[in-house]
Amino acid sequence: MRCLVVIFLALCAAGCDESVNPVLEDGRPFSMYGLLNARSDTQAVRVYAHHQFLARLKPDPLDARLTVTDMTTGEAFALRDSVVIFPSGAVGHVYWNLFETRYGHRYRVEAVRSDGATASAEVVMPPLARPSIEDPVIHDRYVRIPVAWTNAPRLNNIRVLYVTSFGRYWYRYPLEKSSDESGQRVVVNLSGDANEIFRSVVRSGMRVADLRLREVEVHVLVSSEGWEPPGGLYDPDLLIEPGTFSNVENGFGFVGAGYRADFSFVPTDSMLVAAGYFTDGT
Amino acid sequence: MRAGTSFANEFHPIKMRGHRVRPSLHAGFMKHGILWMLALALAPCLRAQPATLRGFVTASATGEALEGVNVALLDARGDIYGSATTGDGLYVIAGLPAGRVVLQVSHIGYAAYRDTLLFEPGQVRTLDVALAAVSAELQELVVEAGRQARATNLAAGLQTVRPQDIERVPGPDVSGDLAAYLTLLPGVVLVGDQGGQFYIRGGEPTQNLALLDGILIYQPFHILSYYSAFPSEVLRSADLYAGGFGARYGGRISGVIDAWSRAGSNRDFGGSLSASAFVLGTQIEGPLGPRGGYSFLASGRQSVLESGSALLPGRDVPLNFSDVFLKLQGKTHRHGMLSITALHTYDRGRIGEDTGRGTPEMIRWTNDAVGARYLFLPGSLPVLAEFLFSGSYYENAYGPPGNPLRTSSTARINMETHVTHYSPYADVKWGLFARTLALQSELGGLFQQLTQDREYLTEAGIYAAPEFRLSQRTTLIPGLRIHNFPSKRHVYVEPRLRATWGRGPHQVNAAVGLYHQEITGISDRRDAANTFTAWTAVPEGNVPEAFHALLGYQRSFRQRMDFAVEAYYKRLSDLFVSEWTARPRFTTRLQRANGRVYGVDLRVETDTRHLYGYLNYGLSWVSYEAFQESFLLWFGREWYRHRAAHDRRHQVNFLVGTRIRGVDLNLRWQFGSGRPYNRAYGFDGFLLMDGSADLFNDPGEQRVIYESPFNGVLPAYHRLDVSLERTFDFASGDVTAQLSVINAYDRANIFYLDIFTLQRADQLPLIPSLGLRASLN
Repeated sequence: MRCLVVIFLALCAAGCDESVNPVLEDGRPFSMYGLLNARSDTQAVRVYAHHQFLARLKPDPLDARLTVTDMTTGEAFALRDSVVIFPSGAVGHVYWNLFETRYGHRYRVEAVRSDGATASAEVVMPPLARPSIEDPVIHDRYVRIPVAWTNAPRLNNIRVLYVTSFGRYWYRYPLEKSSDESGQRVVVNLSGDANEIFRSVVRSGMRVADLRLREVEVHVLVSSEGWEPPGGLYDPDLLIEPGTFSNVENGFGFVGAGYRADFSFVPTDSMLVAAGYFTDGT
Repeated sequence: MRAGTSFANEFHPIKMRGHRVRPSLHAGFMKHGILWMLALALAPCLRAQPATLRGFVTASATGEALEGVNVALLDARGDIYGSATTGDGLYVIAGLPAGRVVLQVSHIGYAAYRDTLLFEPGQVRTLDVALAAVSAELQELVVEAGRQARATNLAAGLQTVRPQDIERVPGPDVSGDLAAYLTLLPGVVLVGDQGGQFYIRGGEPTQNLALLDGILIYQPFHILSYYSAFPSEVLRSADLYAGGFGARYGGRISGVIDAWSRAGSNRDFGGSLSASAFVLGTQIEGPLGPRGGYSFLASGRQSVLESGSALLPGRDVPLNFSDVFLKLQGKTHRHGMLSITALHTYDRGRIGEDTGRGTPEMIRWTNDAVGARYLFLPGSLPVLAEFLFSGSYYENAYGPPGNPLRTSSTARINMETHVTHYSPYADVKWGLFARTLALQSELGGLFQQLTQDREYLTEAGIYAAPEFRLSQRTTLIPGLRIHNFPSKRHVYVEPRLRATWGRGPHQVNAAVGLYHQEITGISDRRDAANTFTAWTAVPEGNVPEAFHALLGYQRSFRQRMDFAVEAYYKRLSDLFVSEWTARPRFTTRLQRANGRVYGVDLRVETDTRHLYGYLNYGLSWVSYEAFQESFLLWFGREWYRHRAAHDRRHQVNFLVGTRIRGVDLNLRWQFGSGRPYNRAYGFDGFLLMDGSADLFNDPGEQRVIYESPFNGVLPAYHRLDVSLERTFDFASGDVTAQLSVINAYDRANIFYLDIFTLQRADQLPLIPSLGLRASLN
């Protein structure tokens, strides 16, 4: 009987509270997404405050001070809030300022709330990397042309542009693992991409024999160390999980550093012929 | 249902205690077990030499079939043979010796019927008996003396519920409803008092098979969860299998609600009108045809809560439901009985709170079901054949009224035959079934992998379930069910076993079984306010499968108190759950999951002349192991185990009833520990930083920062319901008045929490209700 009474009282105690607080406090004030660009005079970081519920944000100022500090020189830059209202009605806070970042320098990006809560990220601007063509691999209908960026810790957003007599053809290239310690490499698949271009030309009702390849451009973002998605793929369904791809302390998001380092070249006739292109001499 | 029985709808010969009986099967079985099994299985195929007596037992005043009537035969050697009638009033006693026997048919509240019969070897004789009721005063005494506990009579997951059990549960209406009784059972979890979503021992609502007179009802519960398609006024009984069900049932992997309606009176017309703050109802019955060979029973209910929500000032209750039921039944000839049942239900409403954002979204569903059932006793064979032909249609829609975003419908035509061969030691039951289904959905992208909008399927199968009586109270029912979907080339073989052992006041029950569900109802369980269900054939891969194991024990203490305990385990495989994502979106991908359910139920019941009391406690664990490729990255492994959204760990129900100066007072208190939910740290935004993001022009997307799946716990649920009821008798009928209070201490029980908006929806508050029912006899 005593046991039953104890159980009953325990149930009553457990059942008295009607309230529920579904939002936990973890002390993280902000999520930050940014790119410090060594080849731009403008630096910008997008900041999201952590809200307690899901609602369309108002274009009110954000309670955040954002600074970027050059840890190498001690120089600090304050970024100012720019409220962006997107066509969908969504509101974004982009903090930005005009200043230049330097190759090889370490930067600390810090967002501070008025109560002192701080989210921060540290990132190293990659050193200047110079692209160059390496020895191509050429067989019949098989042409691979490696382009290397020495000193580049990472490459992102790799795209290859074929400038032809019929127009421009873009190809997004997957991320590749670091080739070696000296830098990063993109292997242009000249013959493989040519096949797709030829199919596109035929579908457009034009003759492949009239097509001429003028130039190949390789566009990359030389990126800071660690700017590499888990799993090697920028899959938004995967990376949207908070903390999955983040370098922000006491917050979420990712702040990277890098710069565009595009490279263009004109393939030789032997490369073009091996890849299936017609040249003016054929 | 008493010890030693398993199907309420089937008969079970017994031998009376204290008399000399013939050697039971037990000794022989132990000696030559397998040979006996084979011999018994083959026995029905042979013409048995022993005689058989069978027939229907009815009430002489109304022609209503009487269930549970004791039919006993005493032969010249002093051996007693007996049986109890089924819900159809049918009894069959096989294995009778030739010669003179004395028959006694007795039932509480009725005068016993006695006769002397003479049997020839192998004779199959049909004898229908109409029992006359004893006077009202005497009946009350007899009934009081013979009252039996029901709620603790749990046989391996099976509990049989009768209208008088339902009437004990305080409800908002003067007429009872099976739904109200279900919430009394441990292991049955009702997420909220709106939506009609019942989870039985871990199983989802769509994993339970609901039948009315053998006809499939896809959504048997109304949008106001106090009500179902089974009002007690038309209900004869309902067998509730919380698991471990036998080979007769299939196509679902959790539980069975096998409800049977009663037949109308074939002697006199009668009816009733009832009104309460929730529902208006009417019921009418009477004979059909000049000779009263047939009867009809019709009922209808219409909710009035929506228009009468003045009871709930400041609270909008936009819930509307109705149902119409009709049953025709009669004996076609001496050996056959035909019944036709039709049901229509309608539900429409907004579940939960109005968000105030745009046009409110409504859920709407309808059930249409019709079926014909024919019971046939062949003239010269100890066999019962049951033929059922039925059609079921269900549709539901979700979205703004008149312009739903999502619709789903399913239609099923079903033909089945159940045959029972009777022999002295075993009843061999087997059956055949064939079905065709049409499934149609317009999902508006709700489930991203489900693109098929129309599908036709055929299913056919066979089952066998011989019931061996190894001793007076020991039965063994092995079963095998084989069914297939030819168009999908899926064949399922499902072994089952149910067993009961009883001695003295003790009884032990056990059941195991394997189950598959090819046609499944898929709901987005992330949104408690949206019960929209898409019925579909399993989209891809393996079909959901379940293995059940149950073990129970019950005993009686001096006829005044009964105790029952039952442990259960369900292993669920290849379920479909919504994917885990930080995107706060209202569509989802479906992911595979396995589930584990285990728990224990404890029940204590006392039933004396002055007091009825019932206390139960349920302890259960329901967990899902979800598989998602991204889990490897997020959680370090490809699966993640979490509590199911309906995992209510502790449940307590307490019911007490008494009669004071002619007034029935019933009080019911229920407690359920909090259910899990997804707790969040907050919301931020997400930009894909792949090197191409434009910080000034890319709007990004909103994101939920969850803690971890289903790691929070909602507040506990508890509620007290009270009812006072008195019936005033008149010469031509009676009037019953009921005063009830639901949620008597006005507990703010949470229904669901929208973590996107932090909006909380509570279940109904304190609601007083006055109900009146006038009955004409």
